[in-house]
Parts: sequence; structure tokens; C-alpha cells
Amino acid sequence: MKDFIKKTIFFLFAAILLVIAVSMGAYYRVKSQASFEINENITKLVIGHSHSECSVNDSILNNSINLSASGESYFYNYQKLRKILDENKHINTVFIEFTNNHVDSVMDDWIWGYEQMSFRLQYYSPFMDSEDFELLLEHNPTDLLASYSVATRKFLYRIIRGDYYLIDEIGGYADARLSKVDEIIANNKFNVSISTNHSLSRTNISYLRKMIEFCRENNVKVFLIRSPMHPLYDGLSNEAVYQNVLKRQFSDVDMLDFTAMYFPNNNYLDLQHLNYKGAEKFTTLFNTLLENNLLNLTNKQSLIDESIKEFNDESKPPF
Amino acid sequence: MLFNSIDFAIFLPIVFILYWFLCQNNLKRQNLLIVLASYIFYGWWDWRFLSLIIFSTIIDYSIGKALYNEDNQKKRKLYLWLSIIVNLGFLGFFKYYNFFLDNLITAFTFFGSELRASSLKIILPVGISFYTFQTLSYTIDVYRKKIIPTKNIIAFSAFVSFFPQLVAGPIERATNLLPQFYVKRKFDYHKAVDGLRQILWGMFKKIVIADNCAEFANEFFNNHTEYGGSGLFLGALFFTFQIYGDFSGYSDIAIGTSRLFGFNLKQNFAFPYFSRDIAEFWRRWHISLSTWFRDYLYIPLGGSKGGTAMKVRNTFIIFIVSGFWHGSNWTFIVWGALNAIYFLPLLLAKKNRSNIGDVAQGRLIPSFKDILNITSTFLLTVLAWVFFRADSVSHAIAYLKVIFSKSLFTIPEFENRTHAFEVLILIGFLMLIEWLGREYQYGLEKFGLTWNRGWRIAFYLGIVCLIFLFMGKEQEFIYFQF
Repeated sequence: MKDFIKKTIFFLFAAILLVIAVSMGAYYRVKSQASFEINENITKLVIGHSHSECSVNDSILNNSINLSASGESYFYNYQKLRKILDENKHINTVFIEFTNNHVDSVMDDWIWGYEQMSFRLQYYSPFMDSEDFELLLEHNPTDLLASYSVATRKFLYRIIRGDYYLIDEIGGYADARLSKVDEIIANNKFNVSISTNHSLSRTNISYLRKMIEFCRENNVKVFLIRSPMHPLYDGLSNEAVYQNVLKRQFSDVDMLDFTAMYFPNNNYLDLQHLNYKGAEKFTTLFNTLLENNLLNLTNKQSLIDESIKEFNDESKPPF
Repeated sequence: MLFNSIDFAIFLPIVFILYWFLCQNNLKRQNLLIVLASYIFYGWWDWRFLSLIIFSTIIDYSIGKALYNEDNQKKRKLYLWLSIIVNLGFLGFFKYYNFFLDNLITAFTFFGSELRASSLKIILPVGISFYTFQTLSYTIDVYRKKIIPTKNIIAFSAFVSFFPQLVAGPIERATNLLPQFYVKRKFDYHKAVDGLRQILWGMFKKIVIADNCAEFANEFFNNHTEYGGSGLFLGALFFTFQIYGDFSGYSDIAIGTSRLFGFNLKQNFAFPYFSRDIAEFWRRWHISLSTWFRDYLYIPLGGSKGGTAMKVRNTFIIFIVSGFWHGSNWTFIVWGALNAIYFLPLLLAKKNRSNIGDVAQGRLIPSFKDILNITSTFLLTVLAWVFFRADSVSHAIAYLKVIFSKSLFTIPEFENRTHAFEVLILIGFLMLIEWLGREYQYGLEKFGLTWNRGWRIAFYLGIVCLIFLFMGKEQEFIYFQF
């Protein structure tokens, strides 16, 4: 029996060592080789989740890159931002999407829920700090192990392919061609996308603060931006909570709010997102404002509101 | 407690150490520890339902003794019925109450009457279908005087609640398992090593095959309207391997764990996807349940004796009841009936026992005829599994309609195709190992035993690596819900 226990422990020890060697080896290989370099002409970075992913067409916005990614919380946005600013000193302006569901507790699941964690760790885990890992470990230890196994598998494929350029995979403008708004309204399919009690995600909000501080430490101008959304979007129901967070915690950051900008239904992908038509109009307006020195003005939102009013007067209402 | 959980990874070594170090020289202590560990294992899920197991244990233990001491046949029958009513009563209430009620309401509505009754929010106790059948087999065997009832309540409690096979089988017979609790277990090095090997293989089947197949099976079944025939066929194929990996993986872990404690459980899966006809498939799939129904239902009904009508009736009864055992949904009943339809031609043509023994015995490559037979039997089971997995009969029919359309011959479009391809390769690896080991108790039993020790350990470590790399979210075993 002692022989059995000895051999079993030896086997388990060898198995654990092997697993650690494979995962750590792959981890360090990706960490040392990964590249986040962007074309030197790019000076503006847009970051956020699906709202900005669908609304900012970076081929229209001059000298910009949109690296927003659907379902990505600030926790992962922060990891991305750090690597990009570290490797691209030519970026001098960052626009961070800050919208209603960003403050909501649904974001917690976007941080340590299995679905997001198992997908995001393959890109960001080599660059995360120990405190970031501790946060995930504290909230979801079982799924962290499973997610890390997925990440290791992806690292190995990356190593086999020799493809360490991550920019193509971590976000970009989503050229949405569909419009589902009429169907949603006709079938009364209004999905609930935020918590019913409008509770806050303190973790997500704290990582927004980290992103802002990181930009400032690197002398990069940082702005919050809110993309246009359909007025029937259920996420707007926490507007009071959202405004409260904005006022109390981010009053030191300039906010560029475009939610008052309305489009015909066929310019939206759904109630939360613009499609390519809406994105083209919104980005054109945003680009014009930037070209007109918006970022250096003191009354930024007034100018935005004026432009939106003109735009709305010219276009059709959403219904 | 799930076998594929951290909890079990801690629980198992603790029980193992206590069992072999503190209880090695004392049978009573060994059995007591088994009972205690089994109750903790079960109570980890929901301690309230432990009372059901304890109640069932006391009832069947007492009835067993009463049956033995009673010569009056009428009274003996009464005792037997008491055991059947109590055991099936629990099962019926927890598992089938809402099903019967809903169908009764539907029937009344169909005939224009109104029946006012509301369903109950009933939690199905994990493993109730398994341990109920296990204890029932004990009382029936005592009634039939096949076994002498035990006077040892601890041994009987251990038999009823033995944790490796408590919640998802194999459903053991008292004739095989109970006597093993009468003798002190001695540590057997080779048996324990073999147990660990079977656990490793079971973990591979569950974590690598079943859980990864589940991702795609769920996608295709839950969103079947978005895919063409080829995609849905692929979804059915993934479910076919999901259920095999899940259930046979559980059985492997259960049997392997039992071997660590010195017990021998019966083989529950004998490489069913290599069957050459449906009759052979049912001799190889969930053997402990199939033989249970054969011995306690089919044979008492007359079996395959009697006229054609009798044979047809008995076949349908056993398959439909077997389907219904799996769950309170019409899908399981249709699945059972469909298998009866597959089976009947073989029975009526007296060819149901034409494929006894292992396919291509002693040969590596099967004959062309065997390949054709295996493929056709496999495809029939894939189609039947659609009913098993679907949410409703109409869901299954809609799913099958798309499979049998022109779109079956298109290239399937779906997300994550690279991962699907990886899973298909892993399925290929599983089937290769199982094919090579098909004459043994489980695929990995003898695989690599003739190799140099270093290569063999490297191979097992490779399997551990695959388990780590393809580990997904911790998933429950499908058969827990039965």
C-alpha cells in the first residue's frame, strides 16, 4: 500500500509539474512575443464594449483605431489599454466608452463569469497583475482554473502558428449590416440587459478609474464617450444611477455624450447598437467635431448638443 | 458531490487514507466508514434527501428479513408489494407526479372538461432512480429466494448507499455487491492501480469528450431553427458522443473508485458504438439497467416466449418503460418506442442473438460486413438520441425534418468550427483506444501495458494534459437528472 501511495503521489506530482510547465511555458512565450503595435499614424484610440464597437467607424474618424470589443468589461479594457499605450507612444488621445450598463452589476459577470473569463484570458492573462488574478480567484476560483486551461490551449495554438500579433483579435469596428429594431418592436422582444434593482458594479467602475489614471500617468488625453442608443433601450432605465456615478466619481473627466442623437430605425442594429448606416453618420459628425477642435474647448458638450440638434432636425425621428 | 469537482478530489484521498489506515483490520469499521462517507457524499448535494435513502434502507432491510421468516405465500407477496409500493411510490412522486398531472389536465381539456390542479415544485432527489432499483432488486431476489437476506444493517446500508455508484449507477445487484460487504477487504496493489487507470479514462471521457461535445450539442439543439441539415446532424453526432462520454465516463470513475476500496462492480458499458445490430447495442449500453429490466420485468412478462403478439407486447413494454425510467417526458417514451421498433424485426426473425461476442475478435480490422453493420446501427442510435435530447417530441420532429432535407449535403456553418474540429479529433482518439481495448472491461485497461514503463507513464501524463487543456466549465453528469 505504501508503494501504491508513493507511486500515486509521484504520478500526481509529475502530472502537476507537467501541467504547470506547459501552461507557464506557453504563458511566458506569449508574454514575451506578443505584439500590440499599431501604425504610427494612429493617434486616437477608442476602447469600450459593443456600443462603441458598433458606433465608431475608425475608417471615417481620422487617425484613429477602434479596439472596442463586444462583451468586454473595463477589467479587460484596462489590460488592453496598458499594453497598447506601452507599445504605441504615438497615441495621444483615448476615448473610453462609458454607457449605462457599464455601471451596472451585470458587469461583474462580464469580469469573472465563465463565458467572458474563458474567452478573455487567452489575450490578456499574460499581462495581468497578481492583484487582477486575485480578484478573479476570489470571485470564481473554479471557473478561473477552467478558463486558464482554455487560455493555455489557445497559447499553444498561437505558438504553433507563430502568430503573436494580437491587435487583429482584440477588437475593432463591427460593421453591422442588419437592422432588427422593427422586428424587436413588432414582436415586443425587449431584452433586459441590466439588473432590475440597478445595483452597481464597483469592480468595473474601479477599473475605469484605473484606466483614466493610467492614461494620465502616460500623458495621454482621456475622454469618456457615450454613443447614440435607441430611446427604447432598456439600459437607459438606470439613467439616474448612471448620472450619479458620473457626477460623483468621474467629474474630473470630460464626457462626450451623444445619446440625444437619433436615427431612423433602420440605422440601428438593435436597441443598443448602431448598424453601419448609423455608425457612418455618427462617426462623421464626431470626426467633424474633432476637426473643429472640440477637445480643446471648454464647453464641449454644448457644441455637441448643438450639432446633435442640427442633425436631429435634418433626419427622421426613430419612430 | 461531482466526480469532476475539487470537492471530490479532496474527499476521495481522505476517505481512502481513513479506510486503509484506520479501518484495514476491522470489517465493521470499514463498512461504517463506507456508510458515513456515502452519506457525506450524498448530503453534499442536499442533506434533506438523505432521509429518503435511510428510510428506503430500513424498509427494505426489514422487509427482507420478514420475507425470509414468512412461509405463507400470500403474506410474502404482501411484503413484496409493500416494498414495491414504497420504493416506486417515492420515485413516482418525485419524478412523475407533475408529468401525470399535466397529462391528466391535458386529457380532460381535450375531452371538454376542466380539471383544476396545479403542479408542485418538486426537486428530484439525485440518484433516486438508481438506488430505488438497487434496493428493489434486493427484495425481489429475497422474495424469489435467490438470496438470503442480510442480518447486518451496516452492510445493507453500505450496499444501498455505496458512494461510487449511488447517484448514477451502475445499478448493482445484491447478489454481486452485498456479499462483498461481508468480507474484510484487503488492499490489492494491482486492483488499485487498475482502478486509478479506469478513473483516468473516465475523467477523459467526461471532461474532454462529453463536456466539449455538450457545447456544440447544446448550440445545435437549442437553436435548431438557425441551422441546416448537416449542422443538425453534426449536433446529433456531438450529443451521441456527449451522452456516451458522460455516462460511460461516470461508470468508469465509479467502477475505478470502487476498485480503490477493494470492490468489484459489474461492467456497465461494453463499447456499445461498435455494436452490429440494435439487440447487441442494448446488451452493451447501460448493461446494469437493461439486465434489471430483463430480469425483473421482461422475463416475468413472458419474455420472448409465446406468440408473436406476446413478443411484440413485451418488447414495447420493456423499451417504453426503460425510456420512461429516464425521465418524465414524452420524448423518452418515444425514444424507447423507437428502439423497440428497431429491435422488433431482429426478435421476430430470431436474429436478436446473432451478434454475440466482440466484433472482429482477435483481429485489428473488421470485415466489410461488420463495418456496414456497425455504421448502420450507429446511425440508427444517432437518430434515436435526437428524441432523447430534444425538449419535446415536436422539437425532435422539427430537428429530424431538417436533417432529412437537401441541406444535409451542405457544409455546416457555425461558430467555433476550429474547436469542433479539435473535438472530432479527440472523439477519433477515444474511439481508437476503445476499439483497441474492446475485448476488455474498459478501453484503457490493457493499453500500453506491454510498453516500457517510461512510455506508459508518458502516455498517461499525456491524457492528464489533454484533460487540463480541454477542461471547460464544470458540468453535471447528464444521468444525475434521472
